[in-house]
Amino acid sequence: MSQTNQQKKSFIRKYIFSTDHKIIAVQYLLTGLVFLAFGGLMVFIIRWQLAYPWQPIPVIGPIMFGASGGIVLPEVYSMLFTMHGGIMVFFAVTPIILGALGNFTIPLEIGAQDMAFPRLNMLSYWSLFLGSILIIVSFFVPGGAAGSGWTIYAPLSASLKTSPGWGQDLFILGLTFDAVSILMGGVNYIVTIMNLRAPGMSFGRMPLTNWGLFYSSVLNTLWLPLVAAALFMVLFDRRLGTAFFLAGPLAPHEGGQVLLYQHLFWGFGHPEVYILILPVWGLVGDLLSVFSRKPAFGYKATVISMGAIVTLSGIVWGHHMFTSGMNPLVGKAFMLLTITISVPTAVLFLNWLGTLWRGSIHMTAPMLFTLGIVFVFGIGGLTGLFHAMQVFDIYIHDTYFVVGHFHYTLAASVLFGVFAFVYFWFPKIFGKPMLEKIGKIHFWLTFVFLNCVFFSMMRVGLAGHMRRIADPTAYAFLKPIQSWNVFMGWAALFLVLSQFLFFFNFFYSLFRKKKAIHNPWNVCTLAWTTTSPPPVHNFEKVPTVYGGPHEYSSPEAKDKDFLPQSEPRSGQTAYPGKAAQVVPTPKLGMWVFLISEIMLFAGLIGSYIVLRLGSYDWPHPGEILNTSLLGINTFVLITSSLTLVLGVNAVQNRDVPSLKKYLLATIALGLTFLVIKGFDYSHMWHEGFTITTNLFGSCYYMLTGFHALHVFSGVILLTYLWFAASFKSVTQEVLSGRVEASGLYWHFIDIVWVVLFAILCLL
Amino acid sequence: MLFPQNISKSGEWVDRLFYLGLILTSIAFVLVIATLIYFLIRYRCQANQKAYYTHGDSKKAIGLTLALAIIVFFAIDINLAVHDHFAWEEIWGRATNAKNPLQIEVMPEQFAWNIRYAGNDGIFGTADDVATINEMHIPVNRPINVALKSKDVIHSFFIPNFRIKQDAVPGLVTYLSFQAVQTGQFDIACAEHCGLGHYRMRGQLTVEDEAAWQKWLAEKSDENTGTENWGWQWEAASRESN
Repeated sequence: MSQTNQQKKSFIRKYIFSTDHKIIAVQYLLTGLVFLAFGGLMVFIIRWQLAYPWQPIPVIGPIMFGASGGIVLPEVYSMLFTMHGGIMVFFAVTPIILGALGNFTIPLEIGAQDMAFPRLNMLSYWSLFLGSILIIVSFFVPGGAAGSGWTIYAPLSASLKTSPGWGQDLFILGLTFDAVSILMGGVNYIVTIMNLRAPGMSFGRMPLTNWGLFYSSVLNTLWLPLVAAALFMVLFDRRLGTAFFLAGPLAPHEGGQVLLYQHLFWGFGHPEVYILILPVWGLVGDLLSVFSRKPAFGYKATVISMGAIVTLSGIVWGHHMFTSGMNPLVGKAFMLLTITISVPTAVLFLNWLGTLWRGSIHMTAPMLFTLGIVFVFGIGGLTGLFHAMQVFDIYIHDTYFVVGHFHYTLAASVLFGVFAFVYFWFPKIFGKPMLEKIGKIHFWLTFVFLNCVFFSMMRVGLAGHMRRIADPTAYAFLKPIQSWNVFMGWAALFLVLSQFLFFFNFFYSLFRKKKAIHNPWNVCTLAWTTTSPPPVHNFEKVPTVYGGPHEYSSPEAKDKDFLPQSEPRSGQTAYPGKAAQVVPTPKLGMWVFLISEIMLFAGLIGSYIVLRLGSYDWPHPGEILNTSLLGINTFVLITSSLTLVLGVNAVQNRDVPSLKKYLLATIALGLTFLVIKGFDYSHMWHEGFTITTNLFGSCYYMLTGFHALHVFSGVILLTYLWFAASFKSVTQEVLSGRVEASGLYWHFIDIVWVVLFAILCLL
Repeated sequence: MLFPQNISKSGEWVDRLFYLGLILTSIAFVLVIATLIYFLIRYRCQANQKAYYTHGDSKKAIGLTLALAIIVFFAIDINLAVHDHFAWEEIWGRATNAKNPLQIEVMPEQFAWNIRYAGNDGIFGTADDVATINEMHIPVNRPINVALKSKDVIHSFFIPNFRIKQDAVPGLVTYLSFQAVQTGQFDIACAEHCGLGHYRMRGQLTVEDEAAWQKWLAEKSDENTGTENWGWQWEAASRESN
């Protein structure tokens, strides 16, 4: 009895609430595949409606839409294209590319035993899981799922009059949990790559996939909080009666700035493309090298080019807004910035061709998908140029030309990346080989039908076919191209059906007996030196790295055509990797987290400044706010920083009783701040200054409210530390690290308050 | 051929820009893919043939890569940007200096186009204004200036036959100019997803000669539609009534 209990518990610990990065990677992979199938099946209904508008869908129509006689109603159509986009981007490819590829390959490829923060890693997956539950639930609430497009453009999304029901709110909440998950993952990836590399694993010896994942994590840390800020404000507009993004009759008062939402959204939205494509580019670089049996051509140039793209991606968002009413001169600047991205992209392509040049090319299933990425990303990248041209973009903006373009870059390229990843890494993940032949057939079918659909999208886009319309036949200028919609419908059906080959291959290979060998593809990197699947802590002995990740056909390799990274070579010593830890792990994790916190507040405070500058009816803060009370609060918070500094000092001197004393003082001061804050709120609310009074009221409560939440979580953190200081299990060193990291967070909260106090009361 | 019939004076610039881009990017794409396929065949794995061991990080290799990338940048990107600049001058720059333009105000709402003409006195907001719904008539060969502002959510005023599009945003006035060179009936479409009825938010544009247009305006003027309470002052008025 007790033994079965023991086994049961160990099963849950081992496979459900696991902190092993490999198990978490599989959890991400399966979640992503489920949503990939879900979002993929939606395609069929969308394309049916466009091919045969208002015709009942055969077979599945009466089952799914019985109430309307098997016909897709306009509101259902809105839901379908919204959730298709939202699910595919955030719940299908993001979990697979960042969650599964990132989790599985980072520790294995850099020679680490696990992630830097294994428990945070587990939390990251479960946050995504919670988000995905909310997304699924949103289909079943009254009014159905969100229908304002995956871009959630305000004001359509931001008012209950135009988007009634809870679907929109659940979509936003689901995305928030997904964003929290991605951020936790990002902190983990960055810290792991920076601090846990095996001896000798310098940055210049990392596989390109890891570089891509590192860059993506940097982009996520920087830009994801921006869209989180925007989505919070949309929720406020919907449920709390504010009007950050509403104007005109929809707004309860003068209203805010409608276009502000788009700036915040695309500030994240454009980097998002690179967040998903950078790891795929890295994968392309690595796999081309493996299957050409040749080192990656221009490794350094590739890494620098990817870095250049990371930098540029943050300053080109305006090209999504050429028709929004933007100043043409600003548009020109965005056009020029956008086209400069093609220089580093061209370098990437040339290096890929260089890798193939004079290689010994093996056409395996993962190689086919890799070459497929080069093809589809070639189309996707080049059609991007048409969107960079302001004049031409004005014509094709919001048409199917854009839809085709981003399906080539974001769907085709990333999806091929997903397949290349699965076919290549499957033997290592599960210890079983996949069926090569079926993989190849899967590639060719997918390649052909995918191009049929996505290329036709661009064709109808040139004819002016708007996106997100439920019935193209209503327009005279679209009548001549309706046959293309029919063609796309059938091609999409076959595209979706072809994927059953993949799912069959996946599960058949998973459950058959045949076992994979350690290194079926003859790869140089560390992951392939351990068993398939790897043991719990990856390596029996932490490997030492002596060379680069792509030493194929190296003249130094004796009996084989590759030289593993962990194999010593003549006259070469290992690079002292371990000494490279400049910042200790807990502190580094906190710094990365604080960068995203800074971006969150930058989004909120930046919005406040934009709203204030754009308003013609701004009240005088001094007449509304109780400045002296807020001044006292500023004093309280600054004092609390001082007591915490004394606490950090105490723990460094191994003086635990003093530490506990100072922690208690800091907690008390933090609580005092919150009590004064609450008093301030209730006082002003009774005086009639509420969150809905005007824009200033909305901004005041939103900014100080978010800050108060941060103070509250800081108090909880410090209370935990107070208890941890008494635990015997927590060593002095660990405690010291945690107190220092928490100190950083607390000081950050104080600085934010000083900034808020200054801009809200004094300006 | 690929585009709907062009009836705009400057629409050809848009089409030309596309064809130039198509030629340039096709050359680049074909070159890359042809090289790729050639390499795949030429360097397929063969018995007793080893790959050439190089990291491609010599100064020569990096210089060549960068030089090629920069050549591509100037041949395609800068080339297109310069052409885009001249097309912009032609389409948008010239339009703002056009003589004797016809002013039209458009205020979309879910899911219709409210269209307003100043009437005979040429001033908006007076009793002789002409207001229509989903029905826009314009004279041929005369510059048209449209001012847009949305009543509720974002809509986008799109006439494919003119190759033009402009978002209508609540709380912001945006402008758009065009000139027809042919008469006929054309679709006005909404390009920005604006809700359930987005797909049926369709307006009818009639381009006719000056005389026919004058006659239509006079007929409409008799219907006294201009007194309907909307115009650029609608926002202030609706706030007061709230």
